[in-house]
Formats: sequence, structure tokens, C-alpha cells
Amino acid sequence: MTAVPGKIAKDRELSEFAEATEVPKDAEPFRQRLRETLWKRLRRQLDPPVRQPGRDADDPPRSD
Amino acid sequence: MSQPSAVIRTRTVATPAALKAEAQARKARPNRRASTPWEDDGEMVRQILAGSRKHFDQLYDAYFPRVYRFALKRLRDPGEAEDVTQEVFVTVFRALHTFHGDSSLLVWIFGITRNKVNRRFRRPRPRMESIEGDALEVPNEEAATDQTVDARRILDRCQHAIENQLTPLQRRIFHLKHLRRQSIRTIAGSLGKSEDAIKANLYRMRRAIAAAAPGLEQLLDA
Repeated sequence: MTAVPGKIAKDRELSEFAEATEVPKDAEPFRQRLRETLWKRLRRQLDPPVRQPGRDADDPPRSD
Repeated sequence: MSQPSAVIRTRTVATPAALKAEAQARKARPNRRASTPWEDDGEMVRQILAGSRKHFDQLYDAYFPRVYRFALKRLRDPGEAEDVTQEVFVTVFRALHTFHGDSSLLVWIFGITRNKVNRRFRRPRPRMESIEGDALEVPNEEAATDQTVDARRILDRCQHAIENQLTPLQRRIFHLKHLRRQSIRTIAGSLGKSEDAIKANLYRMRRAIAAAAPGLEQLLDA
């Protein structure tokens, strides 16, 4: 076995990472599910819910 | 003088010169190396943070195969690969506002992916039982992923060779030397043998194991 220094090993891993372009068919449903989950999370992250003035987030909901 | 007819095999490991040339080529075209449909990583990030679904999809489609395949190849379990892929993208989008273009998105996301995969390897794993009933710890330090996988394969072959090729005395010596980390003098004393006999046995068994488990010598010396 040829010993590979860490830097070269990392470069090889990066090249391998960059070249991957195809998704295995089995992973397709997961890919679509994750896409929507991530998009919803990102939207929540970018547009946090607006708090009503004068109320804390921990306040119980009003009965009216 | 005639040319040698033998085929000369080239090594697949990149030389430092080749890597340097590759790095220079990358510098000349910083945003093309990732084979992505966009030209500017910074602009891509700004658009996503502005809420552009189109740019979000582009980034996700470009990097999902990379992250998933990288994880699957190393973890060899689709479920684990899915977990890692989800963790990577959650981290990427959560930290996207911290991306300032110091490196490319490719290198940034690769780093996150590599860390997440390596973290899986650093989780407590089943212990390998030695022939003497003591535990042989699988290397647990922050080794590169490929090195960790290689080490595990080597240890598996080593275990097989110890069980099938060594004599009971050699197995005992191996255990005392490499698991108990005892000196040759101590081993010789406890087994009632001369130091030369221990050394000769160690030499023979190491040759036998090295033949069955290439790479073990470097692992033991590391």
C-alpha cells in the first residue's frame, strides 16, 4: 500500500467530490424530500415570524 | 540502443508538481472548477439569501450528488449517507450568511461534508476483540476518512492472519508486544524464552502478517 500524505489525500478526495454529478436512483425520493424540507427551513430562517408588539414569545395565546 | 519494451506503470497518486499545476489552473478559473452553472459563488449566495428559489435549487442540484455520493462511498450505508447529507445541507444553509468567498463554495461544502463524515467514524464503534480476550482499539483519532477505512481493512486482515497463520506462542508474543506494549526483555522473562528467540518470532510473525495484511507495518509504526 502506498502511503499518501494527508494533503494529497485531501486533494484527491476534493477531486472525487467535485466530479460526482449523478444521483443514484434509489436516492431520488430522498433528494426531493430533503429539497422541500430545506427550502421551508430556509424560508423560516430568512423570514422569521413577526412577533406581535407588546407580547413575549413565551406568552400564552390570548383567549379572545 | 533500443527502447525498453516493458510497459511502465504510472502512479495514480498526483505528484506535488502536478498538484501545483492544478492549483494554478484553478486560480486562473476560480469558479469553473466546480462544474456549476453559475460563474460567481458570492452572487449565488446573495441570491439565495435574498430568497431566490431558483438559485437555491441550482445550488442544491449541483451539490446533492457530491455530498451524497461522498458520504455513501465512505459509510456504505444509504441511511447513514442520507443522515449525513441532511446534516451537511442544514449546516450549509444555516451558515450561508457567513460565506464570504474566502474559498470557493466547492471547497467550503466539501470541508463541511468531510467533517460530518469523519464525525460518524469517530462515534463509538464496536470493539474488536483480540485473541486474548482484551479489546483492540480501532484507531479513533482524526485521520482522513480514506485512511480510517484503510486502517480498518488492514486490521481485519491482520486479525484473520493472527488467527490462522500464527502459532500459539507467536499469538502470545504478538499480544504482549502490540497490545500490552511490553518490552522484548519483559516478554522474554514472562515466557521463559531468550530475547533472541522473541525477536526471531516477532520477525517471522511480522513477515507473515505483513504478507497477509499489506500496510500493517506503517499502521503499527504510526
